[in-house]
Amino acid sequence: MCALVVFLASAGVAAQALTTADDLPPAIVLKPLFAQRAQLLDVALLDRGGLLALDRSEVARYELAEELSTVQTAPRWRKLESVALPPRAWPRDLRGHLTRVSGQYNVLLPGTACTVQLGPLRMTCNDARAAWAYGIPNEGLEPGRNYFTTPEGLAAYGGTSLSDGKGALIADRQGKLLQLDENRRPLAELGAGDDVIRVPTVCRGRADYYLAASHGPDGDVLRAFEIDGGRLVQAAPDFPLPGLFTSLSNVDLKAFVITRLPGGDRYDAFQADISCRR
Amino acid sequence: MTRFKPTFLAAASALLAVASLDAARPHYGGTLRVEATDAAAMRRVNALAYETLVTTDTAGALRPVLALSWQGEGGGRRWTFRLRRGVKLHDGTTLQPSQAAAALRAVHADWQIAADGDGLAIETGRDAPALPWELADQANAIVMKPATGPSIGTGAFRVERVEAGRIALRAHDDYWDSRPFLDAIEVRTNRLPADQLTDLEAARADMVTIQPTEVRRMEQRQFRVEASRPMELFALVFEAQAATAASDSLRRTLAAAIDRGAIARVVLQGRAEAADRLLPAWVSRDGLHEPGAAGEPLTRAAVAAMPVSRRTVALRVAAADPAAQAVAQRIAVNARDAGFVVTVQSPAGLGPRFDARLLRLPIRGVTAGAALSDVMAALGPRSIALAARVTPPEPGDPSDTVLRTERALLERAVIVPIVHVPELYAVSPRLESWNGPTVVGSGAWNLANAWLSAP
Repeated sequence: MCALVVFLASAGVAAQALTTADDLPPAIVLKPLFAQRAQLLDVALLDRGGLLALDRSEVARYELAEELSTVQTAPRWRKLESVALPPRAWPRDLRGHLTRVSGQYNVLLPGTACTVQLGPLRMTCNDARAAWAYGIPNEGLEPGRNYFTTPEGLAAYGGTSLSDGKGALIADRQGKLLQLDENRRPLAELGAGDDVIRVPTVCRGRADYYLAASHGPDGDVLRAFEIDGGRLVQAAPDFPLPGLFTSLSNVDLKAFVITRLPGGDRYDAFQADISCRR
Repeated sequence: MTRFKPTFLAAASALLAVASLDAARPHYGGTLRVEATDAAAMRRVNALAYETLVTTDTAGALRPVLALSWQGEGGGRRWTFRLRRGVKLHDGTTLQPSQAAAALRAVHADWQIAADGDGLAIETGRDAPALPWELADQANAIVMKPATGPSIGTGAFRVERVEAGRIALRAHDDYWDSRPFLDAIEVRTNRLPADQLTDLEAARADMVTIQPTEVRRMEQRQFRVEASRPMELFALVFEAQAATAASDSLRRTLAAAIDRGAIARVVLQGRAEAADRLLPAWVSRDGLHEPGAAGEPLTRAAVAAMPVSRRTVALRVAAADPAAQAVAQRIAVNARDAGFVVTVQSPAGLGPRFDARLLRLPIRGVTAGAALSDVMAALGPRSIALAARVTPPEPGDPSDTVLRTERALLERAVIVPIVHVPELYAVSPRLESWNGPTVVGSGAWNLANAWLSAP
């Protein structure tokens, strides 16, 4: 586990005298949450301090090992139980998400949808293309692939509707972040992007920010956007990720990002947030 | 209110539009274009299509492929391999143990191989404690020949078409270890090295073979260089008239004069390892340092005092091999410093008589015995007979047996190891890898994990 609890990217603007907290531009904050060697797809924080981890082979439930966790270190977890994913010929770049609907956890995998029951952990899976919670009509990932297709035929790795109800933001298959209008036609290109989620955060009076992961010449980064006059504008400086970007998700109003080391033998999950308090 | 106002604040910033748009996520689709020089490429292509029961990792340890587990009995006279279930062949059917047994029997007619439940039972008729390592060799891949069309197997790609100088591969959608990202691979073989570099630079190829002498130039042009572990030996091999017992001390002196470190570091641009043995460390694994030849070398004065005819060496190098020519020129410089008169000849056809050749000997085997056997086969019976009276080791022979044979071959300095070199490739920046390098230590192409970024 990483020893540093919070990574924080400050806005690289000149400090001004008598600046108050509300005046500060927002910053992306990452908190180390969980790490393992197996290919980690998604995590969710459970009520009463537990954690659900979805990886290439199983869903596992962990409890916080409080005796091993201190404020100086990332949380340590104790595995309580696990349930295997159904055997399938999964894509090499397998993507999967945990969702929670009406208190029920679900696992979404390419061509497979599962419901998860806690205590004891059980999982029921069906071979079905279920829509992923992108806020854009979809039928889930294309079979054997790592992208979905909008009804208009745009292939994308991820997307989200905009909180003003006027369009959407997608990370298309060419690795570009595109703002779409109400008819889901490209409106603006916002640079590189491999996935994007909406992060409900009250900061400077705004209710929602958008976190995008992208690949840059100096490594993978997180970028934050906000809506200004109907257009998306960058809200915080790029945040360098401590590894290769793997997954970005929003479970139960909490955002998570997963990275992997270049050798692929360690996956790290972080809780991501937009903060204007430092 | 203070706003974050970076230079790229504007929504559809033109600055961002021209920034790198490489995707972090692997991109499915596309056709990879590979060019290679010779038949060695066929081994790499075959490994993409036809899998073995087991493989070895960079440390030489066995790893499962089509076999999940294996067990030997009776000193290795009988082995059982439990096969992975549900593995799809390229024709969509499921691999049966009886098919795997038949494929291995086609290679080893003298072995007793039987399907046994979901596994195979193999009896070689000899003590074979290293049989799993032997089976890791690509020669033992599970290959089936249908009535028509190319052979089929279980690998990540299927052979779609084989033509003169071209092989077309397609992704195996039902591959047991996940479909590859690429849709197809086109391999052009027997391409001249200069043509390969031209095609890479003109974006007509994505991956080409290169020589160590081209590494710096490729890196300067922003191509990525990928390397296997040492898979080839540069060695001097003397001809009969220069391999007499009377000239033993002269050959040993010449062998001792060669600055192998400088050849590896300077001439081959740090992409080679000085060699005082035939086998590189990764395959011999005995950790023993064995000088190539015994006996004190002669002094420069002693060599210079000999008649010119005795201390003259005509060194033959392949005309179409600039890397070998560069190594030969450096050997000539070292030899002249030691009092020899060396001429390097690279005739396009028949040339004048020569005393030694600079050869490139492939090191293929997974075991030390198999690797030395390959080297001896490449040297040929005439050179072996000049060096020592030895027979090639068996793939499963113990390391001390292999070491004795290797030592005997080097004893009289008829065969003089110079450097071990890897297989090298220059790779387009648009070729990316999901996991691991594109060329792994064994030289295999890790193309199931490769993907092409958007053009």
